[in-house]
Amino acid sequence: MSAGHHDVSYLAPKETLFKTVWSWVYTIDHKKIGVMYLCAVLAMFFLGGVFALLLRMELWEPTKTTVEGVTGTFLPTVNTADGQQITVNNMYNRMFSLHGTIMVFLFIIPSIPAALGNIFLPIMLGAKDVAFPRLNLMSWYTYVFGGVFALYSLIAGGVETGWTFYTPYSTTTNWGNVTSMVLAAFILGFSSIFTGMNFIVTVHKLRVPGMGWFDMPLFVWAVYATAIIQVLATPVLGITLLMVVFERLFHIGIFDPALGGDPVLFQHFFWFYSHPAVYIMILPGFGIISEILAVHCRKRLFGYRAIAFSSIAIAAISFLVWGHHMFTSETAVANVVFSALTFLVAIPTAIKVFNWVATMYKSSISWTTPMLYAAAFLFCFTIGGLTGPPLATLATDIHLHDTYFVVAHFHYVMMGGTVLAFVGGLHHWWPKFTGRMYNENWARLGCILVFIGFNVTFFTQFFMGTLGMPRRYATYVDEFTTWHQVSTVGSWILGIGFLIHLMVFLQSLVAGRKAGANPWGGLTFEWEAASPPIEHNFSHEPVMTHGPYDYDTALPPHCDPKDFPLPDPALVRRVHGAH
Amino acid sequence: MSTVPAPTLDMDLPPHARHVPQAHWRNAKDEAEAAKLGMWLFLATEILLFSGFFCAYAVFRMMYPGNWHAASSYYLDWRIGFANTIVLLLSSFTVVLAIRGAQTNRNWMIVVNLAITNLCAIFFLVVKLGWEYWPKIQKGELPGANFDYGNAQGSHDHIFLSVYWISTATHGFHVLVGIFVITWAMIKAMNKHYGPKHYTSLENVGLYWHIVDVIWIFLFPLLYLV
Amino acid sequence: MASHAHHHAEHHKHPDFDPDETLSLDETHEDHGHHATPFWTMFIVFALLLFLTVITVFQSRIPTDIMPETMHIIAAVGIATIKALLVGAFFMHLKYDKPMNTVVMSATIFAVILFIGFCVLDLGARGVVERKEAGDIYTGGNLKLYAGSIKPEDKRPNHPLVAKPDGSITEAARKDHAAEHGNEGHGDAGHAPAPADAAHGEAKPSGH
Repeated sequence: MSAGHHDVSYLAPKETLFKTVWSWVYTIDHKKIGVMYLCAVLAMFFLGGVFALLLRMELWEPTKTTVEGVTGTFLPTVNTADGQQITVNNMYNRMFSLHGTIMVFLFIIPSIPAALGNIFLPIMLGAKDVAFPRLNLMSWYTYVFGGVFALYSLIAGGVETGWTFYTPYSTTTNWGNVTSMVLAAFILGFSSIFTGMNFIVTVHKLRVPGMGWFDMPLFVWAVYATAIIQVLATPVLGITLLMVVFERLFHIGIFDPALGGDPVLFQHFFWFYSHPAVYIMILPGFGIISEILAVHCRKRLFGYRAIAFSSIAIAAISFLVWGHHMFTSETAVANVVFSALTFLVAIPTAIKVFNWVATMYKSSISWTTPMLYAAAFLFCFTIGGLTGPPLATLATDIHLHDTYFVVAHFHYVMMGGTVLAFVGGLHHWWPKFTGRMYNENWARLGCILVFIGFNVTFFTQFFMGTLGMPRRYATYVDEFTTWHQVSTVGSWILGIGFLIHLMVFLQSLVAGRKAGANPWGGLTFEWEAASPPIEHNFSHEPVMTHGPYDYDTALPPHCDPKDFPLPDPALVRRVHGAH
Repeated sequence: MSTVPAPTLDMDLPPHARHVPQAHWRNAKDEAEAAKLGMWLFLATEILLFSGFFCAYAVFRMMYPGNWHAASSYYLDWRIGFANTIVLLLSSFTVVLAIRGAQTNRNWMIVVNLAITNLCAIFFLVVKLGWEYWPKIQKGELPGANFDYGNAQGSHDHIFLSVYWISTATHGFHVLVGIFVITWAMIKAMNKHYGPKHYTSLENVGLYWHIVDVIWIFLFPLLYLV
Repeated sequence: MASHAHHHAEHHKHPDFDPDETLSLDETHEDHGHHATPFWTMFIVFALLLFLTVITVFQSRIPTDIMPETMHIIAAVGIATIKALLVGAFFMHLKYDKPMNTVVMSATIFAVILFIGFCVLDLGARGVVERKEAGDIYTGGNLKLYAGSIKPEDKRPNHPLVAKPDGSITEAARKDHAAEHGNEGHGDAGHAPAPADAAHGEAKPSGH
């Protein structure tokens, strides 16, 4: 309760090594849980990335593969009951399935909310911790438990079903270890639910006194909207995957056409969760971009309320559009309804993009790594967003369904959106939660390589998709060779870019310059805390003296006003109008 | 927040009167309301979990309208479902009385009512297992591919039974979990952890139990009656 | 009702922070448990729930030539909804609690309606829109094939055990069952279908 050892950094080691380890293993500190999540999701990101690189290597040549031996080493074979040969095609199926399941369930869903959200959401609200710290710890161990199941499945032969586990294949196949992978996703869903519940209650009940809903940073709004989806959509995934497990174990027949069940019902169940889930993945990214743009452009965010409400609107609309994943399998009536509703998503999303661009207008941009990432995000996410309507349109979707166009669209939104925002946010808050600065120039180089590599990898896939290259195939006709090879070269550039980031982070941890409390001149509460924050975040409960983005009127805490001066009032008037 | 000295506690008071909020809460009221909001969010997830079964029910009933009602009345005895419904409603009512016991500081009322609730829950499970599940297993009235169609009534009995088994089994599992949490609350009540100032976890146990009841309120007519 | 007035006063105070609250333990009782659940209200609700349960049973006994099956379902779900609302409003204190809990529940119910509604819109309309009967979807399989008791090579178009589009899986299976056991053998434990593993281990379903 009182002063003393609580005023030291949350990263400070305890008296003995054992106590230090124990203070992490049995911590209820949201920052420590967030850091553990961060390490785990980064490990999963690199694991999933290795699978992606192998996939791209396999696709270097149209039919035979140059990396048969390599993949064989990475993925041990399993004995199938009927002694079937495991071909390189099976290996390919397994790799894209593992890439998908690991990236979706173990990396991207927990990436921003559970890692960065856990660390920063309570601090941004001026709170000491999340509402239910023990539930938070339980969420982390649930994640670990689910991860163990997933890794077991990986070692025991992997899955060939893709990350979507479509029935009847997932309920009848004997390849690999589908049951444990499905259970892994089931368990990971609970981890996500616990995090979501915790964040909703935290936002409702732990805002610092005087902080109204519209005084909250937009990252909090975004994570709050995410949490709504996590709580309302994830249980349906739980029950769906449980039924798949029952189907595999007891043949209950709900999803099995051989028994009068319906595989399309599975698709409905699955996408009722998994379409909102892509907003679980992207919404926190939106929040990070809002933070980065405000801080590194040093300008009041344009259209605060519009951005805040559009997050909630996206969360609400996300429940109305899942059928657009099933245009080739559902009936015409549902097709028309879902297609029409899908276009609604474009409205709040475009509102956000326009507001971000308007924020950058006439602002004083400092091209730090986070800002570079935010700019890269705007570019890539806009492409990803604008390739959505062709897929939402019934006629074009029939042509583009299950082609590389979908792969490219998805990666432009998820990787060009969420991952770029995540890495940008990681750089933005790195000084805060580690207390160390990173090497700006090397990080910028990494960012540029990632940006180039990403676009080379995936822009080609738009062309391949429109030309008819189907997704999930290990082989292809010769005409696509050049496209595939360009895409593969892009994946190498991408890989090098991320390796540079890894090196930059490791270098920073070992030998980075000590960070001040507020290196970027931010106004939100996390920049009032020390770097790294003390165990209870603040030595005194922070006081709301200005809005989160009042760069026109408020001087940032812990900063020399010479470094971060107030803008020229005349300019402010010209940009914002009188107010 | 300024640091406050640890309050001196009067150890003669019962535990419920000595409750101090966890360190990150600004006051006990926020803590209690947060716990309840968190519980409601959890109940939301429970409802959506079960909505999968109701969705499957609706879809298959529309898909196979022919013999659904016939299968329902052949395989299920409405009297068993009725008895279990009454028992669950009674148990919900006793949970309400237990909370009233906490509010009016009558500890015996909490313990006795929770005990009745638990007896009802056990009755429910015994009836379910002994009079429904066990005869069904013996007669091969099992879901999907395990269904013994030697005495089938219609073309899609096994789908009806699939829906019946997975929904009631999941519900039964929730009843089982309910027995454990009610017992936990009972032990807390015996140790005088609940009083008019502090009974949030009892309330949350009650909320959980009510949602189990509400789910059964829907399952009973849909599976046994219509 | 005086307690209710007090209750609302509390609402208005929140979320303003009162620094004294953390200091004083005596404050805490003001925060919580300011209304005792009214016994007789709850008892009446309980009685209503019992009454509605009886009603729903009676309603289900009405013959279908008087009340069509669809009406039966609507009535049953309607009565169940009333019961659920009673439990929610009174037993679960939604009527007395902060409105946020009701908001959470409403959002949940909204999500459930969307979920079931859209699934039914699609799958329930399949026979109408696509002019296909549900039987079409399982022509690739068969119960017995699945349970592992016949081999994939037995599966040929005119084999009696292959499902027909008219949905007579069970009919075919029943005949097969009768042929195996001599008569209309009502299943006992010994005749339970092959264990789940059989389908898993050996029989490869067609199509892969």
